[in-house]
Amino acid sequence: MKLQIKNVYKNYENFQVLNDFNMELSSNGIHCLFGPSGCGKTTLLNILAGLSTADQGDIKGIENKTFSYIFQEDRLLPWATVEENIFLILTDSYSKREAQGLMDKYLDLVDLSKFKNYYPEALSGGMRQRVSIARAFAYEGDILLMDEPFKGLHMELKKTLMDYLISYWHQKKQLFLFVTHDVEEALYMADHIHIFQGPPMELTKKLTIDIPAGDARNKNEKIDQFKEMLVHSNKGKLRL
Amino acid sequence: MKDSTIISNKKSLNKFVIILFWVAVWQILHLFIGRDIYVPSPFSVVMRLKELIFLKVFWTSIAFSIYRVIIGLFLSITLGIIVGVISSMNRYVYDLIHPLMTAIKATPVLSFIILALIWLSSSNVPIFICFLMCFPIIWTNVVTGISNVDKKLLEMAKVYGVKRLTVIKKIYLPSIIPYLSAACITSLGLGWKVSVAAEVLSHPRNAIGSHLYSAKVYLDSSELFAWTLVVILLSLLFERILAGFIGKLTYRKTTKGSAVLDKGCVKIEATD
Repeated sequence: MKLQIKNVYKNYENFQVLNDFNMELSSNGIHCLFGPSGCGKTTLLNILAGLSTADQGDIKGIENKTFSYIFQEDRLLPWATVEENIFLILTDSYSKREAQGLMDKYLDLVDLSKFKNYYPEALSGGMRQRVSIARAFAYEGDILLMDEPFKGLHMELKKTLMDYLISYWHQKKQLFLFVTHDVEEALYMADHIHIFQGPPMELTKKLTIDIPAGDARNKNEKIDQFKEMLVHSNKGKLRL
Repeated sequence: MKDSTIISNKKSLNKFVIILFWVAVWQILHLFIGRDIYVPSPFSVVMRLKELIFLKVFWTSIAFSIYRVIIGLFLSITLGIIVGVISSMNRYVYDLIHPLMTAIKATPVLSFIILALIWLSSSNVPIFICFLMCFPIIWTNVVTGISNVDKKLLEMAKVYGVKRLTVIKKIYLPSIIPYLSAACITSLGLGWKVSVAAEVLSHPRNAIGSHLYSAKVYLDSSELFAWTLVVILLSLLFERILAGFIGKLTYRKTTKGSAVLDKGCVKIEATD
């Protein structure tokens, strides 16, 4: 079932973020919400995740769905170890044994098994973000939301994390929805790039990239064309 | 000898020198004023204390005063937490309680003691006063602690469907503990002061405050100083015990990555 966002309105006091917003997403695939800062991308993710409510409008296709959410910040409990942080979100949904299995599996995927007894303060920013990725994977939500998950990370680490996400998507084939205003990130991961302007948020163009995500795209000429379009849209010089 | 042992010995020596300095100031003041009734010498106070510790009444008075402080604190902490949590959950309750707390904080403790003398038996006055003075501190810190819980962590828990009880145990409680422990330590010091003040005015049987009152009546400054010293020492002792207890409560398992290697707070930072 498709995810349909119909006639959604959202205001913050007198500031209009979403004004009769409409969008449709396939139920699987890596979708990127691309646009300038403050155009309403995070608001949209928060509405989908139930952290914020729309003033008006309809969202179909998320009924009874669970969400994994990789936030901009790691959002780890500073007083809990890596293991305890992941266990926190599994403890009410899984048996102890199942939770342990999931935790071990995904900590191993993000290469942090050795650090499970560490407190967040002892880890670097990149490692903490990897923990939050492992937490999102371990929860195994039906839809994965990501809000600029690689912001502030250096390119090498960013690439490693994006590769984790791509390999996870190949296992699950779910709907991944990620927000970015970084051209490289969008072109490396997304199958569909939805380009926005705003506020209020307005869909200006949708690009579909039919080349497998990841390294295969690096030397592809078609990607260069997309890149040029995205760079221009980011600078606001070209309305696509 | 290990570095940590040397640092610890040096700290102890520093403390001893500081105490010695203030005792010397006291002695000089005594010599300068020249009358025991105004400022007794440290020696005469210690001698008086030496006499007191062999009396049964000394220990029973201490025991009963401790009992009153503990009951007063227990009540203020328990009710402070309960009312604080309810006030945080309901804005109307907060608006209702807040002016009362402000009024209690602003009212002179003597007004309450005099009122309590009319209302209660002399033995219960110190308990009531201790409770009344400490309760607003606990309430304020519980309310502040709850309102300062990281909203982003709560959002994370909501998205991942973490149950309310788990959220309380794993997010709210650890966030509130630093505020609550600070309030408990402050209340302990205040609790001793106001309880003894209430004992002075209500003079119940077996109370440190009653002995302070007698010392005042008989103009026995050495005894007054000796009992005051006892209050200070008891207050410090209780503060240490409470701090130790709180330290154990919030103690984190030391692991390879987060271990504090020494008292010098050297951390091992893991990197990518």
